[in-house]
Amino acid sequence: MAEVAATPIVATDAERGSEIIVTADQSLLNAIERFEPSSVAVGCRNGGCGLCRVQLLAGSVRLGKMSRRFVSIEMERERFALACRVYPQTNITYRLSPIEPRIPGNAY
Amino acid sequence: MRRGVLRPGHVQIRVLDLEPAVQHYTELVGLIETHRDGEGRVYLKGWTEPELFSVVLREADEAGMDFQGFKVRDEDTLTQLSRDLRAWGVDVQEIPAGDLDHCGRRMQFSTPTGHRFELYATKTYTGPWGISEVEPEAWPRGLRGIRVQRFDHCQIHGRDIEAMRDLLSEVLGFYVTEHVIDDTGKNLAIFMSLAMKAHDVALILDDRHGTFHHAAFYVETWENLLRAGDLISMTGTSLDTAPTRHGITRGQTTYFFDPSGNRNEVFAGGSTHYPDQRPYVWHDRNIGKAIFYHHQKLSEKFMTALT
Repeated sequence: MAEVAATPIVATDAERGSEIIVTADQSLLNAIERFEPSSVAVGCRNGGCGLCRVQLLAGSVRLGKMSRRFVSIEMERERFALACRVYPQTNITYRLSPIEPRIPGNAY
Repeated sequence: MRRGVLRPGHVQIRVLDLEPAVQHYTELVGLIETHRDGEGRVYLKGWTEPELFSVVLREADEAGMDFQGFKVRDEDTLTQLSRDLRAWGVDVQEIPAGDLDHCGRRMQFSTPTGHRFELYATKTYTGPWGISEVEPEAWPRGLRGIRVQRFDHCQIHGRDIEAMRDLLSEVLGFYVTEHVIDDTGKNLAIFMSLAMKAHDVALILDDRHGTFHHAAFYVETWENLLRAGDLISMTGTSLDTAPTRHGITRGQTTYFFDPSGNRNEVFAGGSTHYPDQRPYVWHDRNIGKAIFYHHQKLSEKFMTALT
């Protein structure tokens, strides 16, 4: 018997109201980059630069390692995370919480 | 004026997970793992480099650069330069030999850009990897990935790059090869060299004091860079900028991220400088072409993602 496809996981941006599908083993950032690229600042995609920070409001996720400079232990308790290291396990709701992406030199 | 600082010697990079980082820097970048120390740090080098290591990876809970080290001529020069740094008003800390395995004492100090720099004179000398020092072959077999030749330079961001320029030039003998200024003449970016290379360090004015933009590794040709671009795609590595050319330095370049989000550059070519040459000047209103000569505009990611 063919395997039944897993139910798609839906990630909802609470402030925009937009919904995107996240496939198994796909990071939240990867899904946002695919469906809503303008909504989030994409940096290193590897947990180091902090640009894609979000706060999770509902749902269950698996987390990869994130630079503590941008997500402290206290913030992690309040469910802040870097979207590139968020792997949704259920439907989730999140809001963007980017670090201030300042441009060098104040003139560029 | 030359002060006895020879060249970039090493950089210690913080990574979130050690083994994926080692795999990235060996299998993709093509550095060679040469040593692991009692603290679990991993030492690597490019195949042309004569000393035992030029890159050290340390597992930590945030990404970024711990310090960058420059090689000086000998131990007497090291002692003299430490005095000169102190006379300039810099607090210099002596780190004893053996703190990094295979490395002599290091004189470490905080820079006006908020980074840790250090000088050393002694490190285990192995000769290049895989070829003899007597009648060497053109290149060694068994290299992996992008097959980079050496650690080349770092770009660092911080507040007082003009004070940094003065420290590096007046005390350590760097000179400016190129710089970017605004309409008032204020420096927004300064590129400095110790010898004939286009740059041995890149300084960018940025409120995000003490941050790390990239570590660069040298290859010889544009063809090598194209192959690097192929390998970045093949391995699903997080890309910043596909192969192109810089206006500043005239070097050819591609940027990508290590598994902890530290940016790497692979760099080829670049202009050469003799000591009588005046710095090239770029204006911030044309910064796009200065940085990315073909696209002629900056990407947001390139300017905002730092560790």
